[in-house]
Amino acid sequence: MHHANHYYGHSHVLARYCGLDQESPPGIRGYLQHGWNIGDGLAPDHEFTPGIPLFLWSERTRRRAWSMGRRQAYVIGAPWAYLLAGSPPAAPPEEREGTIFYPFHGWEGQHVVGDHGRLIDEIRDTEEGPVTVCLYWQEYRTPAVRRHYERAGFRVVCHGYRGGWWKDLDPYFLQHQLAEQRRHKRVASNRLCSAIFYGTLAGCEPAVYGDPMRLRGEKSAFGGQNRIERQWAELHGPRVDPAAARAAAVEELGSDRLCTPAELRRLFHWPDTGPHTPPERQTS
Amino acid sequence: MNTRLIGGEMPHWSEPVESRARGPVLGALPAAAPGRTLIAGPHDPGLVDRLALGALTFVVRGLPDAEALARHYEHRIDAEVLCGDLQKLAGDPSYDQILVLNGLDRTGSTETADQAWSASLARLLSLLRPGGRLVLGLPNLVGLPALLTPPAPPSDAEWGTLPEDDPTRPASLERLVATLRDSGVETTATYAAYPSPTAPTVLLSERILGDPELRGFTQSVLRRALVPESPMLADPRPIVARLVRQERASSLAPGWLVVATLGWSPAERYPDALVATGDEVHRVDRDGTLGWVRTTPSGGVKPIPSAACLHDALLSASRRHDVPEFRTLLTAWQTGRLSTLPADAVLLTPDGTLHPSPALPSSPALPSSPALPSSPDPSATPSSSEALHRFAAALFDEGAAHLWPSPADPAEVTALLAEMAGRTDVTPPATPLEPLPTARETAAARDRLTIELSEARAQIAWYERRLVQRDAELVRANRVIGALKATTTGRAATVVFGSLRTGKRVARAALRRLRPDE
Repeated sequence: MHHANHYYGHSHVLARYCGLDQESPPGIRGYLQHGWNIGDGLAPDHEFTPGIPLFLWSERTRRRAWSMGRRQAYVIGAPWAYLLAGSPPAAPPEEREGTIFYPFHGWEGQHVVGDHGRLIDEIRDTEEGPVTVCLYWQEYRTPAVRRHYERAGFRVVCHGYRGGWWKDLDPYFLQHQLAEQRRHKRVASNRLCSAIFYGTLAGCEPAVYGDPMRLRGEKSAFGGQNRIERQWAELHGPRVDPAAARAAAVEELGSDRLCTPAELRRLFHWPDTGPHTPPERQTS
Repeated sequence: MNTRLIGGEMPHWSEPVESRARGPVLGALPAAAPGRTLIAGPHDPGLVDRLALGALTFVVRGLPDAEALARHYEHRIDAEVLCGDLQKLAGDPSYDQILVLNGLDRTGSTETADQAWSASLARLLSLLRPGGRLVLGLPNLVGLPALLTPPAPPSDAEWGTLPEDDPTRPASLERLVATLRDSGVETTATYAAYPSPTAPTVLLSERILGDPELRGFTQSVLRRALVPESPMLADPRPIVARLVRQERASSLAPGWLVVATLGWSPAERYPDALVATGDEVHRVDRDGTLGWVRTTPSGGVKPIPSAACLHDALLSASRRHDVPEFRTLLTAWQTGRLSTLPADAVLLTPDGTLHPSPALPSSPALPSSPALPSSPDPSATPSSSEALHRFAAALFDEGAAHLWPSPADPAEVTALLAEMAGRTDVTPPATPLEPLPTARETAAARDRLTIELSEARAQIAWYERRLVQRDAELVRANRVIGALKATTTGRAATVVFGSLRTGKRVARAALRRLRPDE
């Protein structure tokens, strides 16, 4: 229903999980959380219509949303967790090497203020293997930023366009991201973000370090970056306890709360797939 | 003073005002203790100020609430505010007193896993010094208001495990005391809190609730405390009166409050009851010489008589169809100086004397003379009429209006009660009383009116049958008259009567002519 449901190919991933055409997912009857956040799961700039259900990633987000008056909030888990559930690692597993680093980025119309040079120095000081830097498409298309990282000897990639209003959408965004992450031993960023939880769930060792930078005119809603550093302190630092990180990723991405395909189809008001329904939920 | 974040803080959350422990009764608790006090959960700062405590530490989960407390106490160097989940509050046993007047249900956060009630208690007790005092509230999940609350959508605070799903939460006052004892905490005072665990206006000890001598006093203060102001399934007043009679007023209280000490503590004497009348609080104690006494806000000590609540005594007489006793009580009330007081604010001693209930403000506006004014006093009569009118309405709501023939409404019964009491100055109410916002009484009124309506219809049908019968008789009579006129005798009689009428007209005309002045 909402165009943001298709960001990053989320609805496409879920359609595939439900046995529907990934290239052309039906509209979801509800608002699908599209990024990890510390509020009610909704993007602050998106119009919200009362009575339309919210499909949230985690129980903690649901509790928070409930305390803010949101009642029709259902925890289904993150699309990333569904992607992993339907994409078992290759056998034998691909050899992992180096670190994929996600510098904090702005979204469309936002600009990051920070010293990329200093961040590069910190990455060099910390990482032992080869480094892949994944830029958001805005930064990727900004030659000055991109050159910074290329000159440092890092491989620079972009997972694609997340899309907006059904335009410029790469329905395989998450698949690209998963393929990249499974090649790397570590996932890192200068801010705790969705990509860190994704990488952790995909088997990378996480790390959060370096100048967290900031958005121009950034508002510290729900406690902002300070709260993130305080509440998830155990996930910050160049070396992080993998077990604690894994537990946090499971919790924040709701990978222990996934619905069956039939359940999802019913919740989303999606059509039934008929007699050829794919196997029910797989464990993540 | 800064707010210290301890983890699990909720930047967006502020406790609703109605969920904060507050009110003069809680403020009158003898809570002053030397040393440092920890206050956990939402408490109204006005209440804390009343308690006149020493060094203070607050722990609240909502950041806006913590910041508001910090502003309120910014001039106190001995106060600190902690924000976050109670479970994140670590430290040594450093508090001499811990107040959790609102209970432990509002100390968890959206950001942390739900904690069992017992775990929250253990956390608090780990912070209490040996000999330290714990004042702990526990809302009763099957208390009177909870049982009478109509269905409502869950509140914003109900994001996690509900208290009723927590098996460690004590289900009764006895369980609470036993749980505390098992934790090494000895209870020194327990109270049933009415009408709400958050903002009680009455705290009653087990000793008072179990003493038949004080049953009238208890019924009076609880009736006065439980006037329904928002929609409820039933009027709690008749129910609480029955609970007192059946000695169940503690087990079905809205909540409980206990005062306990960790290990040894000096003997302290706590009141048996605290009763608020507006902002004033009366303390009730058992005196070795005087018996039950009430200490007024000004310090005066007055004995509390062993008495019945007049309202319940009148209802009892009505239920027993004892009209003579009902009339005697009614007359004593309505011809005495307490006629302006509601019946549930009057106590009746065995010798028939009436006393104002301690559940009233210390200086109720009573007429100075016990004698009835010879002419209606415009200032007193409306109040007196209102007291009578309210009692008449209560007779209907409490199912005791069967002493009089139906149909009767509260206005008619008010007039009848006035007649029974020998009152001639009672003015009928200009407008009917606002009906109670309670489903049971509304349904009872509907049922009564349904019966009255069917009775009225039956009466109309009876009158119609009678009317048809009369019409038929009239037609038959007219036929007989017509038939009689057609006979010879009848015609002769008609001529005679016609002549007589003519003669009468002539005579009248002659008389008029003889009286020219007219």
